[in-house]
Amino acid sequence: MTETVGLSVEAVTVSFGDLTVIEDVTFGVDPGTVTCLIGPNGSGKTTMLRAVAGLLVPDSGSVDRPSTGTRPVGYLAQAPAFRPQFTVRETLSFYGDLVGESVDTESAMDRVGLSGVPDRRVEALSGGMTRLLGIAQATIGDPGLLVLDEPSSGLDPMMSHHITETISELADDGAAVIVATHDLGAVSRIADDTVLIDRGQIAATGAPDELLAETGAADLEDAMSALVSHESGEVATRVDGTGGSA
Amino acid sequence: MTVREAGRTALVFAQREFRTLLRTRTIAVLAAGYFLVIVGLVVAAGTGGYLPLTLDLLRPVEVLVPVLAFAFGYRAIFADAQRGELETIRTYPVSRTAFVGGVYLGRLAGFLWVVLAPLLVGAVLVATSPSEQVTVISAHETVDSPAIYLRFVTLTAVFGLVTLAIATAVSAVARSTREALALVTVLFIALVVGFDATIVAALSGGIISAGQVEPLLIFSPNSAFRGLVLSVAVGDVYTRGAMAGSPLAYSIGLASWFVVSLAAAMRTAWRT
Amino acid sequence: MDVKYALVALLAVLAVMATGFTVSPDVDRSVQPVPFDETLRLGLSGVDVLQAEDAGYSIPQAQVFYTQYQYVVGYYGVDAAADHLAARGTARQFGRPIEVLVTDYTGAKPTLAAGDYLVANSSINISWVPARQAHFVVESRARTPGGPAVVPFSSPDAARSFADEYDGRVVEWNELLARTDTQRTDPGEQRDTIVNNRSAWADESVRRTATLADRPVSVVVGEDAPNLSTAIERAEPNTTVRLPPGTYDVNLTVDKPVTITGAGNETHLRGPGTGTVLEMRASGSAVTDLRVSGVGPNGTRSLAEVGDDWDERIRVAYGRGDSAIRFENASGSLVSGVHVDTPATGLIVHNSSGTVVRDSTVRGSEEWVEGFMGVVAMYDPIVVQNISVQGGRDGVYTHRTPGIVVRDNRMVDMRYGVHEMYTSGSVVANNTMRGTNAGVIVMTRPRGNVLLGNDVRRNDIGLSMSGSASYIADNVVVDNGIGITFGADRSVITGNVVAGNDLGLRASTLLPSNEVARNDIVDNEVQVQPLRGPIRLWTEDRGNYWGPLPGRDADGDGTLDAAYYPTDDIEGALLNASGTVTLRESPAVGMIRNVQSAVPGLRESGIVDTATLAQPVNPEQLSKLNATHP
Repeated sequence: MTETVGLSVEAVTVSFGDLTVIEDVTFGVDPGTVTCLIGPNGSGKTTMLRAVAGLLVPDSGSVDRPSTGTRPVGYLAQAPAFRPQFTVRETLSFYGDLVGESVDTESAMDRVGLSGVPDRRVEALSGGMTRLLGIAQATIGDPGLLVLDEPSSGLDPMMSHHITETISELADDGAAVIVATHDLGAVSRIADDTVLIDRGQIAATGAPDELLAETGAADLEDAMSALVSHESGEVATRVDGTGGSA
Repeated sequence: MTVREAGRTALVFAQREFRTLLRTRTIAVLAAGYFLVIVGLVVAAGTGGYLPLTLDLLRPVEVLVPVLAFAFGYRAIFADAQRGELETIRTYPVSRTAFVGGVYLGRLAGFLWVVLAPLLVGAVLVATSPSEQVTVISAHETVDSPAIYLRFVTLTAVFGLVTLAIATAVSAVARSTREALALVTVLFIALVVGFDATIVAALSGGIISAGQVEPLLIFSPNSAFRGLVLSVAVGDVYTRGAMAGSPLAYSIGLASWFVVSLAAAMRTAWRT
Repeated sequence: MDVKYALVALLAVLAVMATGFTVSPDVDRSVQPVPFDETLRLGLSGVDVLQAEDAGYSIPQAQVFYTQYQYVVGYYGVDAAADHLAARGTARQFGRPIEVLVTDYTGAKPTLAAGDYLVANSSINISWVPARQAHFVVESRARTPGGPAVVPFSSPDAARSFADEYDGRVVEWNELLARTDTQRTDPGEQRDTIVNNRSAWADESVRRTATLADRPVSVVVGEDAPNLSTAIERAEPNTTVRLPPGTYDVNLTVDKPVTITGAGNETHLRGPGTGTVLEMRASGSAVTDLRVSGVGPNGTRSLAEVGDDWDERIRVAYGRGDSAIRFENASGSLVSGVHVDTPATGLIVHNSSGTVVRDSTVRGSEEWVEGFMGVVAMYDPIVVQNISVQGGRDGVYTHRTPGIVVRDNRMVDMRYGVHEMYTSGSVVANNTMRGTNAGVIVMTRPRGNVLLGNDVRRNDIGLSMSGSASYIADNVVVDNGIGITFGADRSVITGNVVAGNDLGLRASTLLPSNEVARNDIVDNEVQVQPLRGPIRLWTEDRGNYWGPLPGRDADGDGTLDAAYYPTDDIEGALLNASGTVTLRESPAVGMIRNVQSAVPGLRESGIVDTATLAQPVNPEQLSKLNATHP
């Protein structure tokens, strides 16, 4: 195996019992680039990200993460949550302490726009602010790989835009970034590459422009509709499925 | 990961747990309630010596310390897991040992103080109680020695270590609030009543003989604790002709519960 | 707050606590002897000790250090220590003895003085020796004012030679303990022995003195002689001088054994209003059926010319006051049918063993501070029966009259009905006391007194007992301020009805060594109040009846299954305050109770009855009282 610099996902299959959620997925993310994972609800994006973050072990295939940085991977969960009794700054300090180096929590807060509320308790944060805190947490310790599940969900357009800018900057600093999102506008702005997942399998890959070109669609939304196989308005589930993995 | 790093990480977790305890109101209420019960009992019973104090507190401590331990510990790991934060934590370079060890230490730092505080206050009350000393009459040292009580407090701390370990294991094993509460309830009943009642039932049912009681008691942390207090702290002043059992066996029993509980917690905190 | 500090501080505290394992909780057995007068003393009575101290007699002593009792208990008499150690209940209440020290006579050159009293010729050399290492001379001629002496020696040779010289034998400590064990008698039997012996003696005295009233009449005043003084001069010894109805001015001393008899209240002896009216100085004197007044006003004599001797001072102060009739060295005399009006004392009976005062009345001052005693008895036992004393200071005052019998009398409106000082072995029975400061009060440190079957109501204090080995039995103590107060040790309080008092029972001894059982203690505003010392167990196989307490008697033995804590706030209110029984049944209270019965000697004061009676001991008596809880 060659030394991994970015993220390399090789023929990964993940099953929960009889249910195969991810099937034979292969892709890579180079350092300094942003890859967006898109696909309908229930297509397996979150499961894919969890496998990428090392939170679950694939049934087959391999995930090779970059070995740079004091922390191999920064992760933003789809629904980030933190101890409600702690303030924003304390939460970030805790994660900084886990990394083990003196971490600049101020700049981490600054980066996501939380510097105005360092002493607010987590229980008093809105859903959007909690997500910002989650993003700040993910960036702590300069991980070589950033795994972000729906980073702009629930954010206002201004903040959403700011976050995507921030993600681009993180990639520019050399991190390999993989983002699962439904915000296709953001995808077209920041994605160096996209991976379209449908029912656990890769339906298409390539830069947003390539996807548009491939389908001849005017925008990514149309391109995605063209590339996935189900009827519009239907939640994608596997044929034999008794439930999907979100 | 080196031991040194693991220790440092554990302390980070301990700090987080300790701070959480300090900021959880229900914990404060519980601690205050426990304090009042113990100190109130000392006052209500009119306890005037260390041996009586030890005998007075043995039973309440045996019941209340597990309650406290469960209250302090049962959500520690499981709340992180339920919230989803455990997944975030797992993306950091931490081992399960450091994580569980840290959680345990942090909770212990709050829990043991709460357990010991009223016991220390009780001792102060006895030491400073306006005992009806009649100064014209010579007093002498009775069997009532502070050493008895010091030993009792030490053993109570050990009992606290063990019950908190059990609570930590529950918090690691449980996957839902309902499951955690059920586990805690079942364990509490087992500790306080179940083990001993089973032995009594087995004895009266003829399944075991009286000679087999002592080795069986080792399996119950409460009995092991009680046995240690009776054999090591109180001694034959109270037990007189009866034998409380082997302190070594009881110690092994408590140590086993401690080790097995923490090992179970470390093993089940998350799958790798 | 940094968790590290919390953890480090915890470690520090635990390290301190763990030092408990470095010191042994075992009691240091090398106790140091303490000065004897700083112990809680049991054993010989106060008068015996005072007498011994006065005469320079030596009393072997013991001091015992108990495992569960913080005070050193001292014993006058080594045998007293052995008795108490072997007694039932001692171990339960005090724990085991850590050490027993006894006085060592090895270097004290012990000899016997006149009367075979033990004397230490070199008392400064008396030291303490552990009983296990001592050798005891028993059954020798040596005695103390309290009885045969057991004399301890550290040296076997010294013990041997003392035993040889005074006809004793040497035993070891265990033998001494075992020996008392076999000699120990049931307290009830001891009481019966005292009561039976003294009653028989009193009956005999009454029977013997009754004949004095039947002496032939030799002189009739007014017929054979002009006045009483001349009549007595003319009368043959052992005859009767008769006083027909009339008033006689009298102030005289009679030195011959005669009976002076009148015609009842119509015969009136009138004193000059100073001093004593009639002084009888012969054994077998009698004064019957007449009235006496004109007694001097002074109850006591000035002590200005009296020395420091404690006994002499009392003898003069109390025994020389103004009285209606005074008996001096007049054993076996009789007062019967005499009615006395006195601002001071009614009758003084001094050194007159077996004298009987009966069927008479004494009326004293209205305010007790202005008057004095109804009957003063000193130095010898007498019988006082069926007299009525109203007003004055004390109905019967005793000073060193061991074995006095006071029975069937009525004492109303005075300070103390019966007031015993330095008096052991007395029987005060079937008396009625009303409106006194105290019905019967036993002071000093006597032993073996019995208060039996008295009816004591509406007094400030009903019965008050001090001393040791005494008995308060079968009395009816009702509607007093305090029913029974006892500062006595190793005494028995049983069979009493204690009802309707403000405070039923008050135990004021530091040493919890009394048996309080089988009493009916009901409807007192406060049932019991112990003053000092550790918790007391008021149960001897069976406990007391405290009213219809809630509880079960599962085994049908007549006692409730749950222990009762009458001094407890909750339990004390069980029968008065609604809801307290609900509270009592709570696990919290149960837990408190559960622990209270362990190691009683180390606990603060309180009373526990572990076998309360389901039914009263004296149901008829209670229903007669119309008590709400018959």
